[in-house]
Order: sequence, then structure tokens, then C-alpha cells
Amino acid sequence: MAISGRFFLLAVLAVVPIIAVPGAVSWLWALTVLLLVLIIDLALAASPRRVSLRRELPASVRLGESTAAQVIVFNESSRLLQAQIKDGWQPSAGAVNPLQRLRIPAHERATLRVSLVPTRRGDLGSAHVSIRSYGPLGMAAWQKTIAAPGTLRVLPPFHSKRHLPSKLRKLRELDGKAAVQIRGAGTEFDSLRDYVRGDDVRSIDWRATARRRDVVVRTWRPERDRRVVIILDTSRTAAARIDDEPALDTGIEAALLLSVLAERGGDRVSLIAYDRRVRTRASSAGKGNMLNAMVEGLAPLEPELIELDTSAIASQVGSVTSHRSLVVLVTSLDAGAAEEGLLPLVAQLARKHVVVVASVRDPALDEARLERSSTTLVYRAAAAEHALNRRAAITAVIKSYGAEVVDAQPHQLPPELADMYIRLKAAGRL
Amino acid sequence: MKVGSESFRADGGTRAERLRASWGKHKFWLILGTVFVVVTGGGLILGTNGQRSAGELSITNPAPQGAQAAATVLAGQGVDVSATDSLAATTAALSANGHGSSTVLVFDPQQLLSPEQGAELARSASENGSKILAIAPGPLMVKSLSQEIASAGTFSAGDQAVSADCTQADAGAAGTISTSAGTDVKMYQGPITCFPPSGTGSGAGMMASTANGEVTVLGSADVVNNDGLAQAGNAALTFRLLGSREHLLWYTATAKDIPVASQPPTLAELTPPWVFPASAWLLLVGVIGILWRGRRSGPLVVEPLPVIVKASETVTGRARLYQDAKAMDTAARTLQHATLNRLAHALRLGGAAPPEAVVEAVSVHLGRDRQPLLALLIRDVPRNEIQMLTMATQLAALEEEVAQR
Repeated sequence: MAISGRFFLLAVLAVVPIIAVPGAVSWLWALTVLLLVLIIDLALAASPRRVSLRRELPASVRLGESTAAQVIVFNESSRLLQAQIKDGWQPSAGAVNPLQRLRIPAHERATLRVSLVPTRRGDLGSAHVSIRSYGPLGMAAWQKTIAAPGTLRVLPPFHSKRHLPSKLRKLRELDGKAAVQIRGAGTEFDSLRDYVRGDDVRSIDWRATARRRDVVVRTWRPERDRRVVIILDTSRTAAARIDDEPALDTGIEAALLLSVLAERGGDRVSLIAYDRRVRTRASSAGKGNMLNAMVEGLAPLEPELIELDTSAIASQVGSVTSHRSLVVLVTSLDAGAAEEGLLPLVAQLARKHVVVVASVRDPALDEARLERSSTTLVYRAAAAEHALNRRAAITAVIKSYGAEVVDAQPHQLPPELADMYIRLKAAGRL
Repeated sequence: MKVGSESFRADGGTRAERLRASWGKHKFWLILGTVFVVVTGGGLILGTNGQRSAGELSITNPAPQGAQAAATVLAGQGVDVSATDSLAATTAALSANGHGSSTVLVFDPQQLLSPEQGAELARSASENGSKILAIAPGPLMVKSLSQEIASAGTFSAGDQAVSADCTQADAGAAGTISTSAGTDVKMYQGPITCFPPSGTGSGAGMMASTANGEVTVLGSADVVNNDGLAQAGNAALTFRLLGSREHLLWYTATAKDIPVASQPPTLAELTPPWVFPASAWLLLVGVIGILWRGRRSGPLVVEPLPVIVKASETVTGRARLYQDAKAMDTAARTLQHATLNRLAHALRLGGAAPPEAVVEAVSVHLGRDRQPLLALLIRDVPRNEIQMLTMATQLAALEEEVAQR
């Protein structure tokens, strides 16, 4: 049961006759009138129990975009349903208008359309719909909450998509497909074509030239069909918030950009999100659009407060491919976690694969080390230098194993990881 | 758009099932509320049941300080005991009972009666030929009741019963009376003075009466109350003094005896008549407002928050540790080490270059003396925080200088 502002107003107005005719009788009269109004309105209100609901939800939405969730309300009673309906979305779903008034005639239906602007990645839910059915006077209402679970999957925003065109252009230049006059880098024979001025004379295929009486050059392209395995660390270090973004989200952005780029580059990409067990797994070898499968799989990921099981990662990589491949570890280079688990893992993987360690660098450290205006800040700068020194030392060790390190600030990590991939591809190291 | 095939309804069930479910949900509060109502209601009923009163020497009070025992015994012996609580009611009852048929017991523990009122009571009693027994009256009251009797101070009662020691018939019949030990008992002196406590040879006693026996004063309520009635000759004295006439008026002074003029006007008299009902109604309106605004439209929705840790917390923690331990040497060495590393990279010496070589390269690069640079980058250990601050600033400045050239 619930009362409305109108009922409250009526109660306030009832003070006028009480002042005009003071005494217990007028008081009791006013009370009686209020109670009568309450009872009559409640008796005439449509029952919120005799309502059935159906949800219509978009399959998924990208973080930062808005969408609309619909609830279709059937009024199964034989009275007009004057209702205030609330869809119980969790706060991060960003429901703009979760509370709406609907007038549904008997045995008819209406749609409650709630605009959502999600503020968090993951599976966001609405557990119930509450219906407050007012009587014809609009004074009092019956209220009933109906359990109607619905889930909206909010996908990672993939902001780093804007870097994709420029990186793809670089990749095409590498491929020799772009309209620049350079010899396609790479070691695999691609095709023969007519010589154009500016082509490297070393690439002239003399045998073909002899056959055709025209000068013909060979084109090369980088190796194709190489394996790229991205391991996304979802352990406790991924819970660190750097620049108002969890390290995991930055890692997801970097992994998405690299995956799309590598797939366009003709390589086969596998992604494994791992801490102590596989959280999600996607591969370009699977059916359908790889990017879709990947964002669907990555959307509900949350950092787990457990230590990364580094000893099992080598076997995870082995389960994806037995060939030499590019293994990208998206993890943390923080001292402690890295020393114990990461270094032995990199040493082990680097014997067989090309290993790249990608890690988010905290810009707060770089700011703190330059702030030296007071004693407290100097101590802080020293602590920041200490952390950076340790990081540099770990980076040096990893490089000494023959692996590569991409250590960049949150916004820089995805493009720099993409650059690293292009560089490795250009060098023929894949 | 994904259309859910599922249709949601209110959890069904018959009315009985719903009632059972809501009972299960609100069981705790329902039981607590019922217990509260029963306890308060029961307490209220028990407290007012049987028209008991908690007043001292009240004829409906069965507690030790009450006087229900004496009143009940007297009523059982055919005396018409009636309680009054104001002077006006007492004088009206006196004149109604007729001449010579009443005894008035006056008890005024809070000294509410003025001497004029005492005199009026005495006058009314003598006009109607009634006897007065005043229990523990104050000095002014005694004087106003009868000019013959005077107050003679108090004494602290002992364990022993006090003997009558006088010619008054009632006192003689009672023989001895006793009061509870340690209480203050008032003493009086009059034409007939009885029960002088042993050891006080002043001639004052616990009971005094006028020559004609119309007014009697008794120094302690312990003689009459439930607690003391059964001791020594208390009962005999009480019943003889109070049971000699047909009617007994048991007059206890209350606030009604205070003259109206001396009472401050109440709030109700000063305000217009509508103020009270209107404010009571507004109180109700306030409750309605609370119910209106306080009803949530649906249950609270929880937000499952992921674990997020601020990344630079370890750095902040380490900085605090340095500061608390005043680890200036460690901090300075870290800063020097970091600067050396960066200078080595800036001058393309590689990460493995020895510090002295870096200093040499810097001095060549900047065209500066080697010694101060050596001191700043390697040898100096700050002895206080000011030195450390200076050093940190100089190191930063040096890096900037090298980077600019």
C-alpha cells in the first residue's frame, strides 16, 4: 500500500475546517473523511497482481553508448490500471527514467521504455519491476514488486579502435599493398608484377623478365598464418586502478586492438583470460566474427583477488598451438608479483616463442618523482624512483631473456602494443 | 532487440499462501509489536485496576505506607469511611452528615493548606460538632486548628514503644504506641499531652488534644498506616480515635486546595481554542507526509562493485615509511641512483656504465667541474632534511640541464 501527494494535500487542507470549527467532533469528521477516501480509492484500484510482464532487452551495448530497455505490461484485470511503474535497474546501468506513469485500459497492454546509459562494463541486471496501482482518485495505491530478472551485457568500449586505421595502413605498407613505392617487407614470396620506376632493382625476377620481354619484379609479403596468443592476466594485479581505469580494462583495450590488427594482418589470434583458471577464451579460428566473440567473452570479466598461476600459463599456450608463436602477456610489472612468477615464465616461454610483456605504467609515479618542493614530496619522489628502478630492473631482466616489453601509460598501451606487433612483423621475427 | 520469451507474473498462490508468506517475512516485527502492545497495555491495566492509589495514607493503598487496613476495619465495624481531597468537599460533607456525627482525619504531607484554611476547617468542624484528628500537622497548621495546642519540635523515634502516661481515655486504652525506628516524629504540647517519649522531660508528647477533646493531633503517620497498625497499641488508638462517630471523613490535602488565583494560567487558557486541535491534526499530517515520502517504489537495488585498488598506494606507503624512519640516506641514494641511470641513458652510456664514468661524461657534456658533480651524484649523504631537499632539487635541475643541451 502507498499514498500519494494528493492524499497528503487533502490532509493538509482538512486543517481549515478544524480551525474554523474547533473541537473533537470536527477532528473526528476530518479523520473519517480521510479514511473513507483511502478505503474507497484502494477498493477501486486495479490489482497490481493481475499484471504480467515481458522484457525486451538489446542483446548488448557498448559502454558509453545509450540504449533502451522495454517492459511490456499486460493489464489482465477488468479495471483501468493507473500505475506508476519502476524498473529496478542497478545504479551503474544508468537508467534515465526508471520511474514512469502508465495508463493501461482493461485487458490491454503498454510498453515501459527505459533509456539506459551504462557506466560500467559487464553484465548489468534489473531484478524486478514494481507496480504501484492508484485508484480513480489518485489518492492511494496498491504496490507490488514482481520478480522479472533481465540482464544487459555491456561490452568493453574499444576506444582504441580509433588507432586502427593508422596501424592498418602501416601494416599494409609492410605488406606492399599500399600505394607507396617500397618493396614489401617480409620474406615470403607473394607475386610477380610489372616493374615500375622506383622499384628496387634487386627485386627484379630475371627469369620471368626473360619470358615476358618486360621487366617483372617479385613482391614479398610478411609471413602469414602465424599464431598470436594473447594471455590477459585477470588476477589481483589487474584490480589496480590507474588513471581512473582498472588495469584490466586497459589490458582489454590493448588486447582488442592487437587482435583486430593481427587478424587483418593474416595471423591467427587466440585470446585467453587467465588467473587460476581460464576466464574466457576466444580465437579467430572459431566460427563467426572474432571481434564479436572476443568482446562478448571479455565483457563480464572482473579482476579476481587471487595470485596469477604462472606455472600453468605455458601449458595453456601449448594447448593453443604447438608451433612457434607470438605470446603477448598482458600483465603487471610490479615488483614482487613479477619477480616470483613472471620472470621464470618469460624465461620458459622465450625459449620457444617470441614473448612480449605488456604492462600499464602508472602516470602518478612519473608525476610523483618530479615533485620535489617539500620534504614529504621528496620522500614520495624517492619512493616513486624506487618503484621505477625496480620496474626498470625487471624490464632489463625480461629483455635479457630475449623478450620484449611494452610499458606504457593507460592511453598509450594499446597503440604501443600494436606498434610492437608491427615492428616484430617487419623484422620477420614472427 | 531480444524479446524475452518469458512472461513474469506476481508470485501466485491463494490468499492463504500469500498470508503465510508475508507472515514468514514479517514474523519478527509482528511478534515484537504484539509483545510491546501486550506489555504496555497490561501494565496500564494492572496499574489502574481496582482503583488503587499509590498515595501515602490513602484508604485505597495496600502498600506499607497506605492506610487501607485501618479504613477497611473501620468500615467493617459500621463506620462510613469516605475519602475527600479538598477542603470544600470536606466542609460540604461535614454539614451534610449532620451535627455531631463525624470524625475528620486531616493529612497534609506536602503542607498545602494555608493557616486560614486550617482555621476554616476547625470552624466548620466545631460548628458541626465534629472531632478532628490531624496526622503530623506542621506548627502553623496546629495553631490554626486549635489555639490550645502548640508544636514542640521533633525527635527521632527509637525501637521501644512509648507508653501513654496521661489521663486521656483513648490513650490509656491503647497503653503504648510505636513508630518505626529512625523516623522523625513530631511532638506537641497541649492541655492533654500523651505519649511523651522517655528521656525527654520537656512535657511534650506524640499526641496532644484540646481540653474538650475536639481536636487531636498525632505526631506520626506510622500509627495509622498499614505497616504500623498491628504494632503495640497502635490499632487500639487508631480505632478509638477514628471509630467513635458514625461518619469518618478521610481528608488528604491535594493541589485542589491551592487557591485558584495563585495558580499560573494554563497554556490552554492563553491560546485560541483551535490551536490544540489544529496542531494535533498537523502532527497527524506530518505522519501522513512521512508515510507518503517514506514509501519506496520497489526494493533497494544492490550494485555489485568490483574490487578496485589504487595503484600508487604502495608508493605512498613506502614514502610514509621513509618519512617516519627519517631515512634520508636511503631516499637520497635512491634519487642519486635514479638520476645516474637516466643521465647514463641520456648520454648514451648504456645501463651498465659505472657511476664515475657517468659523472665524467656529465662534466664534459656541461663543461663543469668534476668534483661538485661527483659530490652531488655519488658522495653526498644529507645530514638533515633541508640538505636532502636541496640535493633533490639540484639533481632534478641537473637532469633538466643535461636534457636541454
